[in-house]
Amino acid sequence: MKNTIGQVMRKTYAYWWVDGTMDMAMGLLFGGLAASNYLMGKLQLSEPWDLILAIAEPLLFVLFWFLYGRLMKWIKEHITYRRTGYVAYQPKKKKKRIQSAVIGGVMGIFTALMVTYIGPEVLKIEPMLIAGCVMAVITLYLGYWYGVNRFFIVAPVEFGLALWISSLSMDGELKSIAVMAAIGATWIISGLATFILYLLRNRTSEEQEA
Amino acid sequence: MSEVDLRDLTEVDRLIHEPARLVITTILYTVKEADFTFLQRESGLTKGNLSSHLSKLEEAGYITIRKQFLEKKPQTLCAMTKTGRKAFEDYRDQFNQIMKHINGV
Repeated sequence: MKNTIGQVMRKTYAYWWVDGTMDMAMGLLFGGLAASNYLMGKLQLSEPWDLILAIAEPLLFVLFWFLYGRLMKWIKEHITYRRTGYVAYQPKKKKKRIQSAVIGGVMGIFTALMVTYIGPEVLKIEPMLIAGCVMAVITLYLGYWYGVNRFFIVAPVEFGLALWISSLSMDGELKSIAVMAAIGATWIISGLATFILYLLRNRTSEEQEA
Repeated sequence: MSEVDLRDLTEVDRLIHEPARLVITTILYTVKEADFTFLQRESGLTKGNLSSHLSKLEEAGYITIRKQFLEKKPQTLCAMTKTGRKAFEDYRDQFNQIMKHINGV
């Protein structure tokens, strides 16, 4: 019974992933990071532009989350809620928000340590292979937690691409850009496929009448 | 299981304990509010069945039902009340206790 209640709760949260738009947003984030890193490497700017661009990258995150929130609201209101119903989630309690931030922070520090120091220096493993591995594990966890089966396909693809790219003979920075772009593309393809299937399977009442 | 525990089993909130209503209350406990379409999709109930269960929960004061028009289309919004949340939490705690006893035997 306890498990059943938990499963229903998780399934309710999984509705956020039902239309694939969240996958596409994740893909755009990785794609944006890859593009900004590529541009920074390509432009070879002198001071103060290199510093300005270094500051601009975290700002890109902030701008992304701002636009993401607006865009998601618009998409959900105009596409998802009209087809499969409206839901508003409970705002997280302060304690829960702090807990999430701490877990996110610890995971971020752990990933950064693994990719920049422990992986290449201690374990002698390609940093981008570790990055791909971490992303695959996070994706698997999301798939398990929300019960979203497509993530069990996305995760090995992420890892496989990271493995393939890290085996290529290219510059380390270019490799990191390629892995980020590949992970982004995986998420976008996953989201796009889900979005198309969602639109085909769920029609609005106007579409059904037509 | 002792006699007291068995009495616990007979004292669970029957309004929530009914399987369909348990699904509805679990969903509404998780969210701030949800519309009829979402509840029907998630619970797998027919319109009539869902409507009847929602009415029972509303009568008990566990949920509120609000009807509005969204772009000239009717929308039924449901949300759990404080009473409903408390009743659900009590039910969950009570049932967890019973399950602990059962697993302990």
